[in-house]
Amino acid sequence: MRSTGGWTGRILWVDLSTGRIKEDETRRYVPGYIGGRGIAARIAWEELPPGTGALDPHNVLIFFTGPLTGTTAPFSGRTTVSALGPQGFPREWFTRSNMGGHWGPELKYAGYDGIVISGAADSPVYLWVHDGRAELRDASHLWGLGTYATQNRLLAEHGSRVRIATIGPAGENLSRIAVIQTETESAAGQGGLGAVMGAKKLKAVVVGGTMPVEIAHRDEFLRKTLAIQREFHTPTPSGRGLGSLDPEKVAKYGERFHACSQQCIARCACFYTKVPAPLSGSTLSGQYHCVAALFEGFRGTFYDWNVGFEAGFELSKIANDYGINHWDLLIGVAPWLKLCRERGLLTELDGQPIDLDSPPFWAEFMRKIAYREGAGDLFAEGGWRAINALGIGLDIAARLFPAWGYAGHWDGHGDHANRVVFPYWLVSALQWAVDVRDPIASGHCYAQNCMRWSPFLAKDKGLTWEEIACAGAKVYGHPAATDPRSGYEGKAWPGVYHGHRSMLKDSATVDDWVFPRIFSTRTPDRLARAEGMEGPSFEWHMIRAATGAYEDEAELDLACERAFNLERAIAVRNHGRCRQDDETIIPYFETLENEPNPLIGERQKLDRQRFLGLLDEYYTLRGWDVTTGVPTRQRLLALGLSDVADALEREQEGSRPVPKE
Amino acid sequence: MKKLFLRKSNPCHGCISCVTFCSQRNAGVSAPSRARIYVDLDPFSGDCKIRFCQQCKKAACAEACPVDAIVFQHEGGYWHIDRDLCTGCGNCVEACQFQAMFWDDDLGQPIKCELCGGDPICAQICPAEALVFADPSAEPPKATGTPTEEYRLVPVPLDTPDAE
Repeated sequence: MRSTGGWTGRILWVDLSTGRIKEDETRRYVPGYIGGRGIAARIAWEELPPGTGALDPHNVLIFFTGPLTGTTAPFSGRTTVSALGPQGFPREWFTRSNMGGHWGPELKYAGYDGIVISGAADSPVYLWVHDGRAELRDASHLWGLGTYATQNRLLAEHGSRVRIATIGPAGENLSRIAVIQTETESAAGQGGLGAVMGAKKLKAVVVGGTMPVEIAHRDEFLRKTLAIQREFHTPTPSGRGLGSLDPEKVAKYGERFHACSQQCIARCACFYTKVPAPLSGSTLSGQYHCVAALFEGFRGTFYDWNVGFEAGFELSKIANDYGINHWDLLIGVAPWLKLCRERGLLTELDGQPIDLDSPPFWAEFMRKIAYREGAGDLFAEGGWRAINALGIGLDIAARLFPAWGYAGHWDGHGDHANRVVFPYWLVSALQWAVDVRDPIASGHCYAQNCMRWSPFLAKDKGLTWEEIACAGAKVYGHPAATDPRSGYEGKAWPGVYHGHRSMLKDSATVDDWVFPRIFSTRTPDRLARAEGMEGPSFEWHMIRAATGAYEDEAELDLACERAFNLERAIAVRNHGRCRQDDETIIPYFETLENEPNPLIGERQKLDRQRFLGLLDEYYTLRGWDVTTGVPTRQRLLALGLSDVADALEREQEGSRPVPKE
Repeated sequence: MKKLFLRKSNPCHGCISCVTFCSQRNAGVSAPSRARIYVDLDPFSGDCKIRFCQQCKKAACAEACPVDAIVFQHEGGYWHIDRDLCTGCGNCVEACQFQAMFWDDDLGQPIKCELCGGDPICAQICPAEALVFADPSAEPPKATGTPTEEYRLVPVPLDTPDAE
């Protein structure tokens, strides 16, 4: 089939058990499931029977791009990886993780929109996909290598233009916090999907090609992506501007801005060249930003350790090379170690004193995780499982890990690296409640946007609280949605809205930090716009012009809702998910927030009763049963999911208890 | 006469927007293989080497062309490939020392930067303002320094007492 706009039109199916490779057509899944995460949900619904475990050969590992990946759409160079994830707790939920770099676009240039991998190989293999062809190759010479050495060997073999997704020793040794790594700092990090590759004996997926991505409405697409890219050239008010390169680091390590993924025009990531590495005595180059900066530590904050920039940089590269999840280690495990030590609950690991100011301590700890030695064997299971198995400092851990085996994120409580105050973290709490993983990876934008554009983080450079409240009322359809004094009122609306927007971003694919584009300092009503396009509709304009589908924006919203409900249905069918599970996040939020909303003055905590009411409101808006939290038949039918409605009904009639792991 | 040039400090971020926008504008598809500009991006060294036509006064490509299909356009200040004359021999690709003559498999002919007819899209969209379209005899225009989005961790300061 010749492509439809935005797509190459082809999906690769690889069965590692038999070595058979076949192709399918993308049009089976679009426009109904958009792309990326949405299509993966449909595939999982069809391919993953209940009872399948994350490390079983029957688990399917799905790499999928979207209709915007590889095009001129700003921030579109991303890929969503989906599978049953071993990090999931108490069950190995079907989950997803998104990565940057240039791998996704290159997969499309290689002629495919996605790859579905099932089965397991007998001995290590890698998949080589190029210009409409695919083959499995022996990877025994790569097994055991770190993610950097693996990529360099494969670049030498296949030429410098290919892009590689690979695992390191952590994935090979089936760590539940193993990542899939690409380039020096990008990874599908959450979910332990590296271990899924390890269990399948799939060392890497190498992609490269010269094929085009066709566009349905060429002129319109070019004009619109150009206009939207330009709109993003307005700074977020709390950004530190161009001067934020550190002159000392520029001189010493060649610090410069460097895109973390194709089409990324933001200035978050920096590249450093030949940084002296105190542990190895060599020098290292690579990207370094976001949570990786916590390796270095921040004196005077919750992350009150300090190994210095050079060791912090080296430690981040060691973690990337082993393929270990930064977030679990830095937002979960490290603060837990610090607090346990301060309270005298735990002072050493395998006879080594816990010392977060010591680079060798970190390096040895990560080595043991990667190779499952000593205490590392325990922490390879992920922070939450390890701490529960140890039975030490459980109250500390309960304040760092909200649920599902994941450490906090933009929630005003366990994550002290991102500042959000009441009532804005109520929406984070809703997002956490109904998800199967840390939801904030593609659900940043409510808490992050409100905080960064408000006087709380932007001081006088952003919007006033009144402007935030006014603009938010328009976007979310409820007057209290972003009002700083509104409490629980109206928070279900942004909760639902961002559930769909998260699906859209992971399916389009576009970056989470910048979409949806909501606020602006340049328009009278403080809502972003570009050439007549409303900011929150930017994704729709681009997807419509690229694909020629979704004539009406409501169709795209409905597709997001369809895929979101299908994910919920998978959790219900495969893992017995219900409202009771959702409510397990409550105790985490019932502790005092990290810092108060300046307009309230006192630190707040979650009120259980009012939050239960908010959940009622959320389920009702979604068309989910308020008692069980399961999508109603009526809603599923409205979304065109009659097969799903039937299956869930059969499931509930059988009503067999799902065994916990 | 305006020229397309790379700012001396090469502040390229490696987003390759110039490449995708070029192919979308000039070939109607998103495909680096059909762009008239290319970024050799090495994710491990961080190097971003940008290749595009320098519109040489004495152009080796034009000299290498056996049928004189590469013609200078005085009005726009760029070398143009006459598609009707070009035989697709590829001599020009070999001749260009800047590796800025690209081969287009679909056309079976070389392609090169022709300044988008007078307003190169790469210079319009380069978020790093690495690519500039300006008169080279004048002082290069200062980077406007318009910052795009920028996200960094801003940890909560510890002076908030940890009650409970």
